Amino acid sequence: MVRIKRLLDILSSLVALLCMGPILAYLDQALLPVALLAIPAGFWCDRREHYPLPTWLATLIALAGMAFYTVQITRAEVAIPVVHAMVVLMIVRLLTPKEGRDYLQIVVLALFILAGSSLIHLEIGFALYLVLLVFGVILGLVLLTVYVTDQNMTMTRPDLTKLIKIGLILPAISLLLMMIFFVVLPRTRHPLWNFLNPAAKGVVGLAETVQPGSFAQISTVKTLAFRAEGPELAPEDRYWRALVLNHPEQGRWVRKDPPQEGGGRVVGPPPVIFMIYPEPRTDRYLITLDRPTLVSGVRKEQTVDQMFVARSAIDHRFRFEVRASPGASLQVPGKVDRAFYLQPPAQISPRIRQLATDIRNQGEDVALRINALADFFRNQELSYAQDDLPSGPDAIDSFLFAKKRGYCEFFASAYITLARLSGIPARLVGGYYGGDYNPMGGYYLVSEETAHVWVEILTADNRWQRVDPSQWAINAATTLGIRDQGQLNALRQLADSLNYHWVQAIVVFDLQQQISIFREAGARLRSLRSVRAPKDWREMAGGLLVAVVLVMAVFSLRRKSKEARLLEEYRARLKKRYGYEVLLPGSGLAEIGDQLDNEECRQFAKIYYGAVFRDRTLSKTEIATLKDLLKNI
Amino acid sequence: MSNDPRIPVLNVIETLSDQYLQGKVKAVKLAMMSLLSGGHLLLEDIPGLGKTTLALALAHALGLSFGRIQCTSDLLPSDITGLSIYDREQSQFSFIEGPVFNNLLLADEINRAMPKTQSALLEAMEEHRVTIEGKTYRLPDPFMVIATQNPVEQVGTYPLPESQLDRFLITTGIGYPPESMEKKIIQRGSIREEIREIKPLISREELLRARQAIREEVQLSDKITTYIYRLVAATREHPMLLAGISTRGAISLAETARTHAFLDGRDHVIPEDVKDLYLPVCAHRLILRPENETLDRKELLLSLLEENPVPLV
Repeated sequence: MVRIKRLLDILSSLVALLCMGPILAYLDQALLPVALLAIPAGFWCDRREHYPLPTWLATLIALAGMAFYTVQITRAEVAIPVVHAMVVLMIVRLLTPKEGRDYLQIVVLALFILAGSSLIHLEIGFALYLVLLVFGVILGLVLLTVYVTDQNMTMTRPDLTKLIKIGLILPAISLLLMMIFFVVLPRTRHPLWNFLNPAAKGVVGLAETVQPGSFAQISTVKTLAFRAEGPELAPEDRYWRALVLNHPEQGRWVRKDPPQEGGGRVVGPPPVIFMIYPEPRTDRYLITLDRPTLVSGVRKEQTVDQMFVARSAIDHRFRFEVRASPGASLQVPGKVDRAFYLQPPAQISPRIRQLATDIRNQGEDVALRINALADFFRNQELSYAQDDLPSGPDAIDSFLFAKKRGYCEFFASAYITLARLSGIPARLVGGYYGGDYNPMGGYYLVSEETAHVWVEILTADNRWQRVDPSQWAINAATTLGIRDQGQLNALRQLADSLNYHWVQAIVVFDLQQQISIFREAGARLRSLRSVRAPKDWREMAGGLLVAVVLVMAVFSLRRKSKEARLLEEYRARLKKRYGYEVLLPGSGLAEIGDQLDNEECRQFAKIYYGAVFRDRTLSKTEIATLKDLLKNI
Repeated sequence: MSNDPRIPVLNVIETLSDQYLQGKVKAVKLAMMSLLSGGHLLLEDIPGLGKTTLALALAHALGLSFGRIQCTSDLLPSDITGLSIYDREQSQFSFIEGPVFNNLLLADEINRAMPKTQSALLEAMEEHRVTIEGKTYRLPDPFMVIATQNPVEQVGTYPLPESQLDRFLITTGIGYPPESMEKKIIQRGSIREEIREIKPLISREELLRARQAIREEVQLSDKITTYIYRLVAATREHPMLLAGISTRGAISLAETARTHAFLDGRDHVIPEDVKDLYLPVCAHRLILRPENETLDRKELLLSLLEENPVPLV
């Protein structure tokens, strides 16, 4: 018989210890001994029902601790101060008198502290702590529901065993489900909560042709194009490259197989790594960050002009890695087929032709011509707009000289036409510009409406260099690459983070990755044999302490008296001898002796009962006699 | 050897059950236990199985004074307790003691007496004294009532109320003797005459000494107390029962268990003592729910014995 309150006291101490284990190594030098002492001290207080810490002082300490650690929170360091503050609260809770909700607070604090520890460092041990803690939480909640109804209730040992068994079922089931999901989830392509929605369809936001003057759909589609996980980029570097258009054809710019020009070399700043999670789409273009050097993790083909095309349709969610050097240029070692990149469109208005001639007359130097072209765009005071657009076959002319408004396709087409006429090899690059950075998930969210077209020109030293004429629009700073809805609000950011994490952690987690994880785990296990020196003695000590106390707790719970062990042996003997369970719970030992008419059994009962029901333990000689009797049964 | 207070008691049981009351060992034992525990015995069985013979034999063997009441519906309380009669020679009332002023009182067919008479008897049983005309008389010690009742008869009976049943320590049947024994009994005929010849086998002092030994020397461990409590509490929570065992019932169970242990030659109570007496001590105290009136109380208690594990550790 044990009182529920006492069980709760023991449980809260264990739970507190469990959550302290993983963070022991990260606690302040000052807080560490206090935290370590608080657990046994709290246990002692509960035992004696004497709490030396007055309530007002406890509240003061809690508030002071909270305040002290809250001010230490910075953007860079959130987890450690928060965990410290929670540890202070936990210490105060342990050392003050406890009622129903105080136990609940301890349990919840323990969960939060453990969760916080996972933000500081995450190891496989966390799973163990979590399972144990969840078990403790379930047990605690069950006990609490009883406790609030009757505080003086007691529990017998069999009842407790039953409760523990039931308490074990829940974590066991969740572990089982986790195992199942480990197999099931990698085979799902959509979030489970999306199962009612129709399968995602590919969307065309990125135009495969550029034809200013005809209404393009690019600016109206607001669906998600892809997510890109990686560092935050400067605004001028957020060019997501998809395809290259290089040939004028009946008033449109289309793609033609480019002439061979030998492998280029990317010259520019050090590369960054982005993980791209494209949404399903109808085309096969793999979106990269301009300028890409390496795409891995997907079966693809690469063209000379740095387009990456997937071998299979992008009809499911997956991810690939892009190594790119933002803002770099592509150095072409060999000869470039300049004629191919100088071919102008067939229909050119006289005004444009005249302008190109003027620029060409600036001199032979390509750089001069490029500057002149840029100056022209700047001076023209063009504005970026998505309505009231120039149209018809002379749309470019109208855009440059009459209406002076248009979107990226107008800027890019106008520029490439002028550049080619002025003798500068150029090509159009389609992709996306901008995107919303989600600091919660550390990724860019790029929607179809940010589809963009810009130009690459070949400089005098044989480099393909990015030029974005749209940036010369007088209102570029306010319109370009900025969604008309403005920034994502916090809630949508959160929702998107969740979706993103689902895709990242579950959907793209396929069998191959599972296998590689297993391999990795196996390798790590092998390396475990060579004992790794602990980084910090406290890191070891935390785990060790928890392990020792838990083992002790389990042992004291499981520890059987000599009497119980003897009985167990007796029971087994009888079963062996008679072939069925003789000693049922409702039957006594002396009874059995008479029923079986077995003298040894009678003797056993006499000696055993003689000790147990005289309220004393069996003596050594008695145990020896009983063991001898057992042998003869 | 003669120091052992157990010997004379065992001697009584042995002699009675071997020579006079063959096949009634259990009833004899229970009757002795009831006497040693200071309680009263209710024999519940059909007529002609030796209820009265048992009581008579016991009274003779114990060397105790014996009184007998044949209960009928016109029996008055004064027929049991006695009454004052005017003595013409001495010109005063003198009290004539009724049969209740004996060590051993046999109340035959107690359920035939009126409730008023029943309660007069039962008061004497509980208090060990009677108050007549403002004067209180102590009853002799030891005092034991052996009541019998016929469970089959219904017409013209006043069934004992549960509260009064609770005052009987032990209820038991006698049952038919085994075939061979019954044949012998048939051959031998009634033994009423022989019973009168039984010499007292135990003195009053020896009886009181045995009682003292039970009270002082037999140990009731906490585990057994818990076991008794569990068995009693189980009846209180049982869905088929209106009322379970009272605290008096629990005390009775503990006391008879001590006596049982004493008769077995032990100085400590073991679970089997409790188990053996659970039915005789507790069955008549249970009040069944009206819808379960037909249930056998003993079966119910047996199931509780099976459900509640014997404390072994």
